[in-house]
Order: sequence, then C-alpha cells, then structure tokens
Amino acid sequence: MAGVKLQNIYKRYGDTTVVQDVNLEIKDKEFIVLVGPSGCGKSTTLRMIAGLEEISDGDMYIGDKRLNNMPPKDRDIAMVFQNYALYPHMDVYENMAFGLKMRKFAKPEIDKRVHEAANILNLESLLKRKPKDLSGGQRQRVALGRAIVREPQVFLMDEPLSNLDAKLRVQMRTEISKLQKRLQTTTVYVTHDQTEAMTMGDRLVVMKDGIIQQIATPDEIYNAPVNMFVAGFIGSPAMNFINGNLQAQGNKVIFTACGVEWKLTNDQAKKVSNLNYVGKEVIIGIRPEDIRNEGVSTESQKENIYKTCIEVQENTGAEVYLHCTGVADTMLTLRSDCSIKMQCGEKVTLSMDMEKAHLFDKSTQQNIMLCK
Amino acid sequence: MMKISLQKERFFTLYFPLLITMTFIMFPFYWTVNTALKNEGDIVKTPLEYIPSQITFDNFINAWNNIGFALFFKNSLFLAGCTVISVVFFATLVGYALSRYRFKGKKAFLLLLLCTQFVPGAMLIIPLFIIFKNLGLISNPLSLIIAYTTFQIPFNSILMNGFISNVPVQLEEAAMVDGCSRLQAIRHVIFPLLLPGIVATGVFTFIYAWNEFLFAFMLTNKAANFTLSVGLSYMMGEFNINYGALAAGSVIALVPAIIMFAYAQRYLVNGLGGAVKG
Ligand SMILES: Nc1ncnc2c1ncn2[C@@H]1O[C@H](COP(=O)(O)OP(=O)(O)O)[C@@H](O)[C@H]1O
Ligand SMILES: [Mg+2]
Repeated sequence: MAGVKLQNIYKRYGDTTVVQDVNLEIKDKEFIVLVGPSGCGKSTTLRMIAGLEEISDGDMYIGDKRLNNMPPKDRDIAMVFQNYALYPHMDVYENMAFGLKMRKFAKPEIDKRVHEAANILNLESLLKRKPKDLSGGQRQRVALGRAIVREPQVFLMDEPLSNLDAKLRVQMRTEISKLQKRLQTTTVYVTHDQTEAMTMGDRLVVMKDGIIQQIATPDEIYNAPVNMFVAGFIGSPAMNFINGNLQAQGNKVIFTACGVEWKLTNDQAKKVSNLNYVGKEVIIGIRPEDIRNEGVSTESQKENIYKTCIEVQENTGAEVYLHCTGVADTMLTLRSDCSIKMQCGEKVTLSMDMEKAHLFDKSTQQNIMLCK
Repeated sequence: MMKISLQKERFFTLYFPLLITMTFIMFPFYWTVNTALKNEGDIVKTPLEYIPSQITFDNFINAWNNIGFALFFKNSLFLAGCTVISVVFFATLVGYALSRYRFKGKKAFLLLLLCTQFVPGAMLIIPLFIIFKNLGLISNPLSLIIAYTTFQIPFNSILMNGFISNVPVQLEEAAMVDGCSRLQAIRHVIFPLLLPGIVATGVFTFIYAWNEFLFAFMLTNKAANFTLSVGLSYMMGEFNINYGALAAGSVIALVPAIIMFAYAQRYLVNGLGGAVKG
C-alpha cells in the first residue's frame, strides 16, 4: 500500500489546458473522491495517475517513486472503468485472472485469489459465464473483482456506478465503501454525483474547469465551502444564494436586500467589519435545511424572517421541499416536515438560521468567513 | 380458406421471386458443371443435353494432368496466400493507426484511400508493366503480390478501421493497466476480438487475388507462372475452344472459393455486422 502525490500537475491538449496546477496528497489507505461537473478534468486526472494519459507538466509519485513516464503496467495500480471494459472473449474467471497471468503469477496462487475475490463479491456461481451473459450489476462486480485480485497499491475508479440503475447504485455504493475499508487499499474514485462523493469519500476533491476548488472532508466541504461553486455544487437541493448589502446598525451588521433585513451573528459581524465589507454588496448562502418554516403567523416576533408564498412543493415522502418566491426573481428552497400540510400559493413566514449562513464576496465568490 | 390464401400469398411474394432469382444466378454454374461432366462429343451435340447422358471425369483428369491446371492451381494458391498475408498485415496496422490515433491530415488520408478505389485497373496496366519490367519482375509472382497488395490495402484498411473502432479503447487500456504492454494488449485482447474482421478481410482479399485476371494476364508470360484465370483464358484459342477443359478448369477454380465462403460465412456475417460487443 502507498500514498499518491501529485505536484503541480498540468494536462494540455495543444492550447487548451484541461487540468491546471493540481496539487494533491493522497494518504495511504485513504478513500479520496474527485468530484465535479462533467468535463472538469476528473477522468483526465485519474488517467494521468494510471499512466494512460501523458502528464504535460508536474510530478507524480506513488509511495516515494516518481513515475511520470512509467507505463501503466509497471505502476501497480488497478482501474475500474465506467463501462467496465470486461474482456468479451474471456469468461468471468479469465477476466479476473488475466492481470495475474500477465504478471506471471503461479496457477495455484491465481486460482486462490480469484476464488477469494469471487467469494467476497458473490461471483462464485458465475465464474464460467461470459460478460455478455451478465447483468449490469454482475458486470460491475466482475470489474471490481478484476481490480481486487491484483492486490495493487492503488485502486482507480472512474464513475464505476454511473451505468447502474438508481437502486443498485445506492447498494453498490456501500459495497464499495465496505470493500475498501476491508482491503485498506488507497482508492481514488471519480464521480460527478455529489451524493456518491459525500457518502463514500474520506476526503473530497472538488474540481471545476480543471482546477481544484477545495480538498477537505465531506463535513468540512458541506459546512465550510471555500467558494460559491463548492457551496452550490455540494448539497441537494442546492444552497440558496441571495444578493444584498451589508449595513452597520448600531453595533450590529445587517444584511439587506429588497424587503429583507437579517442580522449577522457576532462572529460574522466582526469578520466583515475587519475585512471592510460593511456597506458593500455580498452574496449570502443558506442551505434549504437552515431555513425554518414558521407557518402562516404574521405577527412573528422572530428575527431574520422573510415573508413569501409557496410556488411549488416537492414531496419526497420523508420530507418536502418548498420552493418559494425569493428575493428579486430568485427562488428560495427549503426543506420542511411532511406533516405540515401546505398549499401552493399559500403565504408563509420563513426564518433564517444566520449561524449557518455563508457570506460570499460578490466579485471573487470566495467565502468571506474563510478569508484571512 | 384463409390458410390457403395466406400460403398462396407467401408463395407469390416470397418463394416465387426467390426461385426465379436463384435459377437465374445458378444456371451458369449448373451449365459449367454439366459441361464439365460430358464427353467431348456430347458437349456440342444438338439438341443440347440438360442432363448428361453419360457422366465422365475425363475433362477433369485431362485439365489437371495434361493441360497443367495442377500447376496453375498451385500458382494461384501461392499468390492468393501471400497476398492475403501481406494485405491483412498492412491493413491491420493502417486500420489501427486510423482508428486509435489522432494525427494531422487523417481525414485527407482517408479520403485519399477512398479515391484510389475510383481508379480503373485497366488504366494502370501500362505504367505497372513498365515499372515491373524495369525491376525485372515480369513473370515473377512477386510482381503480382505487390500489385494485388497495393490495390487491396486501401479498401481493407478502411474495413479494418471500422472493425478496430468497434473494439472499445477501454479494453486496451484495461489490458494495459492489467499488465500488458501495448503490443501485448493488442495480441491478447484486440486480436481475438478482431478475428472476425481479419477473416473477412482475408476472405475478400483471397477471392480477389484468386479471381483476378487482367494483371495476371499482362504480367505473366511463361506458362509455368500462369494462374488459374490465365490458364483458363488459354483454353479459348484463336481457332477452337476446349469446352471440356474450360468447364472442368472453372469448376476446379470454383472449389476453393466455395470452401472459403462456407468456412468464413459466420465470421463474415459477424464481421460485417460489426458485432464486437463489450
Ligand atoms: N484528447 C483530447 N483532446 C482535447 N481535449 C480533450 C481530450 N480529452 C479530453 N479533453 C477535454 O478535457 C476536458 C476534461 O475531460 P475529462 O477529464 O474527461 O472530464 P470529466 O471526467 O471530469 O468529465 C473536457 O473538456 C474534454 O473536452
Ligand atoms: Mg469522466
């Protein structure tokens, strides 16, 4: 087992740079997830680690060996592809044994490892089948099996679940997590699905346009996103963003937008004063679960309220998402209890949990609370 | 009632047209075989015999032993075999490059390959003859192998490009991650999946080389180097035509082609359908 280190990695195709200055240190045994919208360079980064794509600039290490120019076969990595890439002319057993055979393992050892993997993945009864006679989920497991028999230093997985149906995807998500915990193999996992990323990764690497935005634990990414992109990309339904101004009012700082006056917490007030944001435009970000529905009570004594009406309700069964008319042509989404029955068009009073609100610089989109 | 009219309809829309077409296509074959099995007198006898009254294999024995079809057959086989090997080799490489690599002028190159198919062979006879004469290769099988290979590479490269494109790149990449070099990946993963395509290419090339007449006729002037098609043409002399030997020789020439198709049929159907599924 070993860690992986990427230092100032670039990938260029002619004049276009698709991966830019990636610095990433993956610890031994860690499960790291590269996440971002499609086309942001996740696969390219992964393929550079695999050696399937040339590194244009920078250094890459597995353990403490620099292996920029090492061919994939010598890197001691295993990869799971999005379309599984099972060899169609080999049966399940041969598919799993192929990597070991190419590495000249002895027959009994190959046999032992394949059966072990088949056992773990519930493939024992399918060993003689050809890939075309397997279901999507079974193919997925064979692809995993092919990776684990190798007992490599690093697993690389490129959207391995995206071809499965929703239910199987959730099931395989936990299977893969369990497997990784059990085998303790350093894993780099690529996905565009933020739920997958949040649930599986020890740490997430959020990417956009070939640039790493933030590297942190799921908790930290969720609760302290460095910028509006990360804040908006992670979390479903997405965070609400509201444009407004900061104004001093006595020793308090108030966020104002048309019809809105929300009081910042003391910490937030201190920070924005120090960084000279008072009197300037900012964007406030509030997650749907940090907005409370106070019902129809108009005589509310509560602070930080917003009076609006419900436009659309989405009932998921466990909870209901209320999409309300927001400030200045935007929508405001909140999570609410299913037990409170509301009508579309009904007037509601919402209260914002300002402790959980995030403040972003309007031009740089950086999280003000994390600025120095 | 209903059933009968349905059957009738099926007969007129399906079996009857098929029967007509088959008769039309098969009659020359039938007539060749028919002629080959008659003795010399019966061949030109009037009225024509649609079923030979007396079956004889003399024509075959004569053609094979005395006229030299044994040698022509060997020459053709050698020529076609060598052509197949070199065409399959080059077409696979060109097809691989076309399918897997991006390079400047790829579109133009593909177009050029296609354009070569529009040049009529007859136009090239004189230049080719001069080239091979200067190289001292007239009546040398090598000249025909080179000529055939040259003519067959473009089309078969395009064909192989299609077959190779049908094998997902990820399979090759998976093999490389699994411990193969690029060549090993091609050998262990791409090649087996490409076999239908290779067989298709090989069969097409074989049939072409086996049947080709014009170049073989022009570039060969010694009987020892005649191919079957050239040998057959000499059965039609200026003053008489040796019908028996001509028919028997034709049947002899047909046999390998038929065997080839029978063997390669399932590959051809698979190969041309482009069905290498992941
Ligand atoms: N061979 C190539 N030539 C030019 N651009 C490419 C090539 N391969 C990928 N790209 C570009 O690189 C970007 C990143 O691709 P990729 O890493 O596959 O994204 P992701 O996996 O995050 O969806 C994309 O915008 C894609 O268009
Ligand atoms: Mg991708």
